[in-house]
Amino acid sequence: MKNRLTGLVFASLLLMNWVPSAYLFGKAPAAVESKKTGNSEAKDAENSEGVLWIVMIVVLIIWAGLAGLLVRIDMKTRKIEKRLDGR
Amino acid sequence: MINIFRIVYILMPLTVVMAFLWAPGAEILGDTSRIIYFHVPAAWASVLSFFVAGSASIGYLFDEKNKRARLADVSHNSCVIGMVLIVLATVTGSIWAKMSWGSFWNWDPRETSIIFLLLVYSAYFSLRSALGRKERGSRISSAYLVLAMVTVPFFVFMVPRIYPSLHPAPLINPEKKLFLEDKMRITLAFSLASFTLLYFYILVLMNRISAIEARMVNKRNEK
Repeated sequence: MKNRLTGLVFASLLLMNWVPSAYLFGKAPAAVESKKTGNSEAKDAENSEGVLWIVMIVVLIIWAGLAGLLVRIDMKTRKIEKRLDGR
Repeated sequence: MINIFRIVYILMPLTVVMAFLWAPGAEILGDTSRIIYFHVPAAWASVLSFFVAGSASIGYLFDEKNKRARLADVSHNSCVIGMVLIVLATVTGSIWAKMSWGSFWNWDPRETSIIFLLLVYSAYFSLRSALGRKERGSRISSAYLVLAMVTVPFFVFMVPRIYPSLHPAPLINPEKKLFLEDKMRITLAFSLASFTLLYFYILVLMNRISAIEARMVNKRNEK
């Protein structure tokens, strides 16, 4: 159980951090381009809130999965503890 | 005790929303600066976990047997979490470096010191698996963790301040002040709190599982 907890929790955590990083990384060329050209449209596109919302929702979904996993493990651990205590 | 850490269930989503929607992007870096809310807290939580591991190891070395097994588990579990968090900090930092400085790896003092920390703590896992979990092995592993903890402040806090760093002045500067906009500062504080709570929550869960394993082994041995 401990290995499963470690693996799944850490995989979710990595994913949760990697998603915004990868998204922001994808945006980097546009930022550089807009700085070079001074193109305000490119800047506007870069700052489009729509994409930010999508990334945020993806990160929140990953967090929900991680939180669900933690709750499940918490409950399972309590159950085993009670059984060991003879309650 | 674990109930306090459950605040993370609310605090983490709130942090994510703040990081993406409420906090503004930095002046030059724009939206890419939002990575700070994932990179810095991961690095902070990893440092914290290494301190907890080292402190538990000191406890292990000086304790009179009754809590020893528990302390050995605490230090090992904390190290496992710390290792994952430091990998996270390295990955997010490396991606941010590519965006800001044009290369994934620049041998900046902070990047170099994080590599040393990774090596120091990777060596711990090799040592522990080689020596096993019996009395002598645990004692040597604990002594190693105490020594490793001593290196953490040097690598994390001193080296980047001694040598010129590419890392931004808002976070690392001689004035020891945080030069961030109020909204960014608040979001960073929330993010640090969330990651700290998450670290403690996972640590407590892992410790409970370790305790269950130990009790099961004891029961089996009694039979």
